[in-house]
Amino acid sequence: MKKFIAIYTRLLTINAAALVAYRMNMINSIIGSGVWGAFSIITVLLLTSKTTAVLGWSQADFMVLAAVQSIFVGIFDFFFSRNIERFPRYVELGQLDSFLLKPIAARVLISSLYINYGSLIRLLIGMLFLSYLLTTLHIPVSNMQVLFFIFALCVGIILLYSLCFLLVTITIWFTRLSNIIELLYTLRGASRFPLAIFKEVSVLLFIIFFPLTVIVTRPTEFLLAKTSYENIIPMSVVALMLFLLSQLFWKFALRSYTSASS
Amino acid sequence: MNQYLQIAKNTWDEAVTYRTSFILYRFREVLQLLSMYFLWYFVSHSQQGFFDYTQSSILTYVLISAFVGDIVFATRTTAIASEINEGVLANFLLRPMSYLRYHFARDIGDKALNISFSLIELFVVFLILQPPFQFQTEFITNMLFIVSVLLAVILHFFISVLIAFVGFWSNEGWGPRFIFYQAIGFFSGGLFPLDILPFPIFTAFQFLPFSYLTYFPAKIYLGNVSQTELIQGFLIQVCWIFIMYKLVMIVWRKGLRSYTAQGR
Repeated sequence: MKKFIAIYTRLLTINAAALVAYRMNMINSIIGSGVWGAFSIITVLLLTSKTTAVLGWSQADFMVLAAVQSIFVGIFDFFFSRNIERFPRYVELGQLDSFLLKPIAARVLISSLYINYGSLIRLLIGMLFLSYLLTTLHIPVSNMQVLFFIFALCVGIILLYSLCFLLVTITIWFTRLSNIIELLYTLRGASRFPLAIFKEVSVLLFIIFFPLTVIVTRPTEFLLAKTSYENIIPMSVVALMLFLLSQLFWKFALRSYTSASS
Repeated sequence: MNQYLQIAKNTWDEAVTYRTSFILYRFREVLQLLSMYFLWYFVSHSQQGFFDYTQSSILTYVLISAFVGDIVFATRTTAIASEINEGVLANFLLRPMSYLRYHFARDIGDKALNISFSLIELFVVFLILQPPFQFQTEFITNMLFIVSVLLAVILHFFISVLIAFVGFWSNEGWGPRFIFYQAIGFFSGGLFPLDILPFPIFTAFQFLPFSYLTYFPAKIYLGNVSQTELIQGFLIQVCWIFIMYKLVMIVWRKGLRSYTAQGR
């Protein structure tokens, strides 16, 4: 653990240096992140402007959900998105070898090499918007609610990370399937809508969207006291199982890695 | 002409060769459509009308704008920036054909495949969900809808090429494209009908090219456009095509002057 913290601190510095070196990249990333965050919030505002409540979610609830989604995506993109997006390329070009040969768990290094500072803008937008909503709408939030909110957010990040890793591991067999991760991001986009929408519509859609909508809906529900604290258990169990499954699958997939084109 | 038809056909074949990737892309599009559809379904269901829309008209708008989006935004011009950056453009300049027409032909091939899949998907969605869809029966309106979609295709092509030409001066052509596509869903009316925006903002949007990519064709299909708005809309759409074409040609000439075929 100590070794990993030392490596991660170094990675943070290297990525910050790269950020300054490739300034245009940084500006694009910041603008893109900001525009994305702002538009998703404005869309929800417009969508709910004439509605009192949809499936038990008021306009204020929807806005809190949009803010939490922005926070969630900001954190996830900061730590993982770029790393997961690059994975199919490592496999296709045979670059995975260099990770496997290093004296650190390959999965850890693959998942943490690139840090997206640009996404902090989205995180900031989400946090500012959430604070604004909680203050102006006088939403009472207890310390316990905040604690469960943060915990559920962390569990959600583990859940999404495990799902992403599970999916990109498939590219070890199907190297051309590089857009698999975009599919997951589309599903993640649906997380700005309450889980109840999919539950109401069809069982199949609910199953497909469930892990991805729960990641944002559940923390929001804790913050708004819309669910009981026990509901953290099934979410945590699913996250833990997915994490273990992704690890097993990763180990199994590595046996089929042929290092083609390296 | 034949060579461009062959290029369009090759693009189709290319996509069919990597079918898993393409099917995955289409699956993603379907999920996106379904999530938008159900959201609007519940939002419009929970009240009597939404702005000036009934539940059936808003759901028709969602489905039609998704279909129009599939046609208009399907593009292969994303490759232009890397073709410039990697020096591949030099190969095209030596060939007896127009580089822009080559990419337009590729776009046509790509769009043809996307339209085919989109129609099948919509058919399945209709079969399963039986949405309260407002079918347009007026022949003239349908014709005007088709014309507006074709003009939107041309307009989007020029905008997309213009963004890709950033590659002449920067290796980071993905940035402007990324930001553009972040914004386009919002400005084009792909996420919601633009006329639900406050009036001054909506009026300003009508003078931008983006609303003519999705919103304008979808509104024509719904039959909610007056004759004056129709004439004004088509005029603005054609004007933007002309402006974008001129810009593309200017930037292309300037870009070629600074092009060094780096990487060759």
